Amino acid sequence: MSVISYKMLQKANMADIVNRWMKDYDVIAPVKYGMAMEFRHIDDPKRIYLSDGNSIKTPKEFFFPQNDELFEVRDGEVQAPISAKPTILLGVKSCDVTSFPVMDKVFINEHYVDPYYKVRRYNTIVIGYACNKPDDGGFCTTLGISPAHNEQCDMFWHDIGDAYLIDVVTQNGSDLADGLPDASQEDIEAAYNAREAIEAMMPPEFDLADLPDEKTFFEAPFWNEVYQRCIGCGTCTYACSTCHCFEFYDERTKGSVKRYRNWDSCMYALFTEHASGHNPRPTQKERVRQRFMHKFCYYPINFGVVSCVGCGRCVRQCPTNVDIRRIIKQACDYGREVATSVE
Amino acid sequence: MNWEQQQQKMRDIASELLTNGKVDMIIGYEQASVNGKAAPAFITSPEEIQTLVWNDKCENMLAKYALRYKGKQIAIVAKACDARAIVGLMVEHQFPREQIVIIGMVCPGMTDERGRIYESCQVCRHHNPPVYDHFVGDAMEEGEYKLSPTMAKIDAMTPDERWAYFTSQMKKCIRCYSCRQACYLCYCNKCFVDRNQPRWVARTTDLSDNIYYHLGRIMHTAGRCVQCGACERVCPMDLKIWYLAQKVSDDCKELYDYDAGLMLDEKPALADYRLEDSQKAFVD
Amino acid sequence: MNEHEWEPKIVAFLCNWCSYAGADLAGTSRIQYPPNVRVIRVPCSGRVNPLYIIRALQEGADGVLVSGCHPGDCHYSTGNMYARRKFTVLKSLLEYVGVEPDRVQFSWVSASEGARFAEVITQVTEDIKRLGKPTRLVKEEMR
Repeated sequence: MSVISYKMLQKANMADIVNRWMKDYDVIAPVKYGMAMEFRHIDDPKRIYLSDGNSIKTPKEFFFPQNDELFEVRDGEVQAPISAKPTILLGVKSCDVTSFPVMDKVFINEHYVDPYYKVRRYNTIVIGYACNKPDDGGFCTTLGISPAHNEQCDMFWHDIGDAYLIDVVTQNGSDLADGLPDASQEDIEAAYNAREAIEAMMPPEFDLADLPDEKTFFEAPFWNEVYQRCIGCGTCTYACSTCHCFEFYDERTKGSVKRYRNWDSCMYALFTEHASGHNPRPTQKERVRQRFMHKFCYYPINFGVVSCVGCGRCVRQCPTNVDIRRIIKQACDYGREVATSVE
Repeated sequence: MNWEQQQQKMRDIASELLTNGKVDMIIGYEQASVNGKAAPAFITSPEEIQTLVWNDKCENMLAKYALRYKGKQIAIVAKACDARAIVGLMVEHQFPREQIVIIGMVCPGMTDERGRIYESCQVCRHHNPPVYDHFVGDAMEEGEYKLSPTMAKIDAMTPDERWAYFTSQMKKCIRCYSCRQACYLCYCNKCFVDRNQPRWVARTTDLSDNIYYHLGRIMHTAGRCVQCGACERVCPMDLKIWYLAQKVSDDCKELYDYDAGLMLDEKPALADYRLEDSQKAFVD
Repeated sequence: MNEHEWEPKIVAFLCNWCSYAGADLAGTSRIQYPPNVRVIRVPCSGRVNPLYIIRALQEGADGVLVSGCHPGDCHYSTGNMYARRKFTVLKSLLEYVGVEPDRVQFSWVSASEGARFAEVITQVTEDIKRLGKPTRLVKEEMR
């Protein structure tokens, strides 16, 4: 993406600039959480923790929260405040940055615009942050995403030792970076060399062009095996940066009723169970297949992109090691096999 | 016997079982693709036997899968807690003894990615599978009761501090139900959290509802739990919940002299009674 | 509202055959006891699911009492024997996570113990008043 300008921010000055932003914006950034990190609303910039690993939960929850209160009915009146404070989402890795436009296709498209999602999304300035070291299980490059690319965000930071090199990408980003010194040519080159280095560390693991067509994919024999170890816990879907399935839920409180939109997961039997008790996805096999088919077959058919950004959270967090990379690789192998046998 | 020798013997047994057609499937462990861990493996042909591994990363609770293959002849590579879990499930009439070949592994304890032994394994008393068809390893001495570090910390706290600690954990819960899914005891056709007529618990991540879910689950497994710790190990948010299970199990041991999963002909603690049981919870 | 005016609401799960009849006897014998209990009649103390107790507290009850037949006297022979183990474990667990021990209480009251029923209720009410309004387990939105 074309870059407006390159700026420099000394690490020691980060707290100052964030403090300045906090006057006008809610700032969300990673903080340390156990061994990993977590995105939180920041009240003290000193707590911001920018590192190579990625967060356990994805920042998608700030656009699409796990429990999204849609409206409240009190004394017969419906109250549905749809608003969002201007927000800065800082320290988002390339994979997660890329996940936002993927989610946008569901929530903001020509047929339907979700007001709750839209207001948060459009009021948020996204600041990306480059990976200098691949995370275990990450495979963004395989899906055409660089661990250090500055697309789809307003600003993108590269860690270059004592300072951050900032790619200013949009006008919003430019306004925020106002007053920062310009970066030198050497620093820009250093950042881009680092980008090439990390890309080289992560060679593509499969080629999506090999994926079989929908019917072949659906009926492929490997589904009988890959699901076996899955315990149906749903961690993968909750950790996923692009999973967006939800259910509605009404909650009675004292004197009112609230309607929530909660995350749901295709890994649960309850997800597809009918009121009659019939379940069209009766076993874990159908549920596991749905997850991968949705990401790599139905989503491309509906929206033209795969619904996976290769962040690797599901790979790292799955307690039984259901590895999306292995499954898609198997699918690609099978696709090639079927293609050659037809010829 | 060290890990490698145990692994070799386990593979030999597995190979023999499959080659002679004594079982349709071996459920064991294979190398996982990340974190240096092991993952469950489902082996149906003798050629795949070499992928079976046995090391200190074999932390998954395999008894859970035995429930899925009811009616099939299977063999399970069962570390001591898995074997006890299988015993517990047989006590609850989930499958007959003949249906499962237990390859019992003596287990000194499992370790996490950083090589630290899990808390549940630190205080484990039963390193030897109590019921087995094949015994792999040198029998270890049954351990003495040990207080886990978390429990020791809790014991020293005032009620207010305990509540603060408990809620600090419960706040983190994202209600993905991994703990339920990993638990071999959670085999209800429909879990109470999934019921909506009547609805037992709200589906939002409200603190009070998170507590309701966790206390409900702990009470459902009370007196049946073998303290394998799978619930805590699978938690993506690193909730400390195992100390609750241990507390309940300790109570069952102390009050009713019951240790889950050791005997095939003993009823779970809360499915049994004695006239002279403790009255301590009741007002005089 | 100041503390002196606050009257707790206590949910009492009483078994049909003993404690409920005991409450009846207390009433027909015109024995006075605090009006703070709200009785829920259940077939047996063994019928009381631990989740009922937690739910009552979650939805705003200030205390919970479960009462059944004395051990050995259960209408269904052994229901209360199972209940005794279950509640012993539950009470211990609740205390362990930091809930006040007196917030949830258990007792045995037979059909002939009207006076004892009144005593138990008086005692439980005093205990709950001493503890004050619950802050634990109760759902924020129910306050």
